[in-house]
Amino acid sequence: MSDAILRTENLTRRFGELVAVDAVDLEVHDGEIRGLIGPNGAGKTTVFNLLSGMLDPSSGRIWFDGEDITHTPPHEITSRGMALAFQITSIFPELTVVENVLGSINGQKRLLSPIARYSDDREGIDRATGILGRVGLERYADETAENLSHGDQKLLELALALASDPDLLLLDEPTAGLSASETRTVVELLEELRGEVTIVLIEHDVDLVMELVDSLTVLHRGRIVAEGTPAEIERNETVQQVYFGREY
Amino acid sequence: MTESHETPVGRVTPKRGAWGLVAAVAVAFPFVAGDFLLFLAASVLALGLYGAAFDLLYGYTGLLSFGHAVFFGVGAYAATFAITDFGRGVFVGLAAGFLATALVAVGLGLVATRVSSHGFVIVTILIALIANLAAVSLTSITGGTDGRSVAVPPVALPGLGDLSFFDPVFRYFFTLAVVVASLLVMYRLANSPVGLAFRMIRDNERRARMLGYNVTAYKLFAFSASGAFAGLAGVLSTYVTGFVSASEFSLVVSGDAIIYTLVGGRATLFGAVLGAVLVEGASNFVSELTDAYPLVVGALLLLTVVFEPEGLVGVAARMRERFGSPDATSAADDGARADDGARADDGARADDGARAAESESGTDATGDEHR
Repeated sequence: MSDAILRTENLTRRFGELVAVDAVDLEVHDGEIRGLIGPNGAGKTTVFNLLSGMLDPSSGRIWFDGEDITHTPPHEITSRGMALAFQITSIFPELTVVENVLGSINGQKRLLSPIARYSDDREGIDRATGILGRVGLERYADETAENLSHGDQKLLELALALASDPDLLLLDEPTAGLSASETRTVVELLEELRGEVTIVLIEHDVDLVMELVDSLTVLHRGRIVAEGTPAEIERNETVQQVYFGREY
Repeated sequence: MTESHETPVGRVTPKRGAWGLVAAVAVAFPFVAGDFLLFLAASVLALGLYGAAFDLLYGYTGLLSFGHAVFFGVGAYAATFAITDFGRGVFVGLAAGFLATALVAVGLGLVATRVSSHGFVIVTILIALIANLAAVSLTSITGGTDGRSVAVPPVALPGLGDLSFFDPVFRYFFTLAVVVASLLVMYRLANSPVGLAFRMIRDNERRARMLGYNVTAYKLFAFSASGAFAGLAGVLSTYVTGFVSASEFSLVVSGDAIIYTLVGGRATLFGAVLGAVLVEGASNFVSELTDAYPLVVGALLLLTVVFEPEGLVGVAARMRERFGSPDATSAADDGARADDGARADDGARADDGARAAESESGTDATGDEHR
């Protein structure tokens, strides 16, 4: 258990009658890339919202880095080193691209100056530019974020998550809606991050998941129905049923 | 990409040139204008500061306050008490107005910033209404709507002797100096890391919170700073007119700040000053022609909001683009953004709002996943 960076026990979230996440026991190991898959409505995004503190669980507990973060507010969870890249891009549309990333870096600082110019913060801007380089957005640094294409906004979303210097990165469909070359950029970036950052990935592109992840957790109707390596999951009968077979 | 020229006083760019022109007009104005115009200009400058203070909260932080009249009024009365009841000077009056308003703003902000954005609007309206009622009924203190006259003491400046607020030129320059100094401070704040946090909250509050920002604390800071400068504007206004009344607290005064900012252009600070000049200037001259001047000013506001949402500052930028612009490329980009970029994104933002609502009310979690 010592190398589990993230652990949940009996994690449950109800919305009225609906049990969106049902007694999930999840254990993510330090340094791995974990895929979280399942049909639409399986509760994947809700699990992310619970982990990142955006939703309060109905019951169950969450440990991150050995500490109980079950009812910790989202900004504190971010400060402890967990970052979430949203499925639907959630950027700062009227700021420039580099301001977006600089703002994310600044979010980790305890006190910000009300008189220094943020444009004079060489160190911060260099770091922001470096992160933009990693996602391939360097050339748009001074562009207003809302002018970016959908794919580039998605990459900026990823840059925002990286800028908080996380130990654990939750990525909700990072390649959905991306072109083939943009997808390549993301895959290469994730390969680069392997070992450096622990990643939990929600992704529908099966080929991409099989290529990237070390292990997979399959959710169906809020429950974990299978866990294992990509090869094991491919052979798993329950998973076959969930995806292709009849309801059971 | 912007052309510039080296001169003995430093690098001159078209942008700096424009500021130089504004400064030259502001300094030369008293030497060509008559007493009434100087009086008008000084009042308008004070109102411009009031608008800019509002813009710090609305334009930068995205919080629409209908309560800024309260700050304007508190500032005006704090200075009045300092001068009339405690026999203090002009500078103590300014400090008293600024600090008293900052304190009041912190108190009110603790309540107002706790609620959602719509709640914020409603809370500020309530605050304005209550303050107005109190100010009107406490006639023994405020003088009610009949008001109190304030004998603003002269200012002793080294080498210049005693300068009186009855002197229109001194009154104008004093107001100009305080307004310019305040604008510079607000400009620094708006372009600091804290100012960047304000704009992040305006653009996407939920994400700012996720990134580690204590959104409520930043909102409170923006509210208080904005309130304090609005209070300072109230002090200046009292110095210019030598008069203060409970009408400073009326909701109409709150509306004025909104109008200046919308007409001038939000998130620019200086735009609100331009807005005040245009709106108050127009009111003044049109009111001599017809009693229906509020209709004319109202039409002006409507036209601005419909045809130039970025206000006068937006018009200026457009003019630069059209006539011999050195930034031709960015001009084209801006055009593109107005057409598709902004719209596409509004959709995304609406989605986001819906998601936030879902998360908070917790009615539909799986809705997320169908998108």
